[in-house]
Amino acid sequence: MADPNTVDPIHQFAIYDIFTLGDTGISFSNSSLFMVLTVGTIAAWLLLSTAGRKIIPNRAQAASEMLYEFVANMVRGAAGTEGMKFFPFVFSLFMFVLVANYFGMVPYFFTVTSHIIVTFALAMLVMVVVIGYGFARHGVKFLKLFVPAGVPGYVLPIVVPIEVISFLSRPVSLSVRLFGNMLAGHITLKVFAGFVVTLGSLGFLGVLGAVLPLIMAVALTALEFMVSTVQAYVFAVLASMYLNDAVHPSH
Amino acid sequence: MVMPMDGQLLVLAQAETGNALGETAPTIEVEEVGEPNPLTADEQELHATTEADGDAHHSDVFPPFDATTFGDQLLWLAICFAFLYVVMSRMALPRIGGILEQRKARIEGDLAAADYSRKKTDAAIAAYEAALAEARAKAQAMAEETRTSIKADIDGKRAQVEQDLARKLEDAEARIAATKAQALANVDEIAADTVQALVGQLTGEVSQAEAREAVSQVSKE
Amino acid sequence: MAEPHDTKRPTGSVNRETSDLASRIAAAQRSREGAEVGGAAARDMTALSRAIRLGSEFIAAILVGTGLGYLIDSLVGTRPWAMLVLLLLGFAAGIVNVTRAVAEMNNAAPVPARSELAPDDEDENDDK
Repeated sequence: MADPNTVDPIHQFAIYDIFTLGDTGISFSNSSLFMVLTVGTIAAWLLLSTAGRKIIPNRAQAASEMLYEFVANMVRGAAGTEGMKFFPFVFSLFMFVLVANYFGMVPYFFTVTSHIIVTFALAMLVMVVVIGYGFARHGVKFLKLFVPAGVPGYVLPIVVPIEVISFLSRPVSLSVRLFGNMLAGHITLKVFAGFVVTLGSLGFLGVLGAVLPLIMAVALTALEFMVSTVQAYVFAVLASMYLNDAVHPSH
Repeated sequence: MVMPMDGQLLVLAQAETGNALGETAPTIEVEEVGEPNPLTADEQELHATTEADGDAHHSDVFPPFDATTFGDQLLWLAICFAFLYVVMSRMALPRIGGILEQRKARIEGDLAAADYSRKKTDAAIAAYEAALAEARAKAQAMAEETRTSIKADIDGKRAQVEQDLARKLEDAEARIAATKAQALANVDEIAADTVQALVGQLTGEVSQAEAREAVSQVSKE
Repeated sequence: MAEPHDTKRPTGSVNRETSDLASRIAAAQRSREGAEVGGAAARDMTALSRAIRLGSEFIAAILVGTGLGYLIDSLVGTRPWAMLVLLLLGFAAGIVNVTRAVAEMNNAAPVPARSELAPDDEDENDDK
């Protein structure tokens, strides 16, 4: 898709329609394609690897079990046993972000999570679940979340707005962080890869000069893989911490 | 602040298409035909500017902030994530949870069985050792008993034999004494005969009584 | 060195092999219980991601505060005032966010410390 001669670090984030569904005006873009691929890969992997239901797992099943236990422990640690009802939700979030991030590492692949609207929608989904479950479970008592315990009444007019802003800032920080990490990482990678290409086309000295950016690009790729994992983890951990507020509002 | 507005407009437009397909469809279609074109035009322009000047397009439309794509992305994200959630919560996670539960039960069962077998083994070993000790004690007692009975037997026999021997010894001694006395008596007679014969040779006639008296006189001295 | 103590007669087991077996079964059961309890998997984040987390928490609060103020201003018509006040509140909320994030990280910190203790236990087991 990208013209190899033009080194444009932004072009990789461009969205273009693959086809449009008839009169409905719904278009299927490369972003949609990679969302479908992400979800399909996760579902296929988890279902196929566990199809044998082996007592002694093979490698693929062990990996699926490890992911399960990792997220289960994370949710249980952050939100307690009652929070385990959100385990499928957090697991879906974690896997979606993780696999979408990893897909973005493949050259010429589109990174779903490098678009703010996607990460923001996921973060808002968490918040909607938190607020919805919080009110459904605790009713008006859920608002205690905004009133820290042991605070004298006369500072409440200041503390409550601060708590509200703090609460509202959660989806913003959650989504902006993931988006920013993916965006910045991919731009940096692309810039260094661009150096390699440009310098490499300048003849012998250029090839020599391209070695350094190449090493940098390799190192950055490793770093990006780590960032992809850590950000998926952070996203899921914070989601389960916020869900903990819905389960236990008075903290 | 302008871009989210655009996004909302687009979502609204799509909501309309969802509600009424009949009459509004043509006008919407016009919009839809109109919409992708500026985007591709933008992209072409973007390509052109990149070749000419690398930094010019930044202010134009940065793809992640391009609000015209928000609606479609949200729609497909919703579809995909809902599908993922359903597959995870209905199929994949219960299955993995079941596998883990089963394995846990199996391992704990096996451990309990191993512990049970171990206890049984311990009990068997203890029983065996107790039986062994008992048998050993019994054997020892039996040996002791046998030994004492044999000893008693031997002692009795020995006493009898000794008694026997003693009696025989006495008999023998008595007999010896008798024989000796007889022998001694015989000796006197022989001596008297000898004396009589001797004296008779030497002196002549000596009566038997005188000889006998002389002998007894000598043997007394 | 610990072996003679162990194998002599630790848990009322009669003989050497079964007592070894007993200690192994007990160890396996204990390790399973331990795995169940200590499952709070708070991975140590890298310093970079920590910094990014704190920074984004802080900035997000300020942004939300300012945006909320802007919204109130455009609704009520008190142009700069709500935005200014909420900017300050957003600043405060950012500090609250950062304080909480640091507290969370500190709470998560003892877990690596415990997991550093755990290999020591395993080492002792290895010695046996």
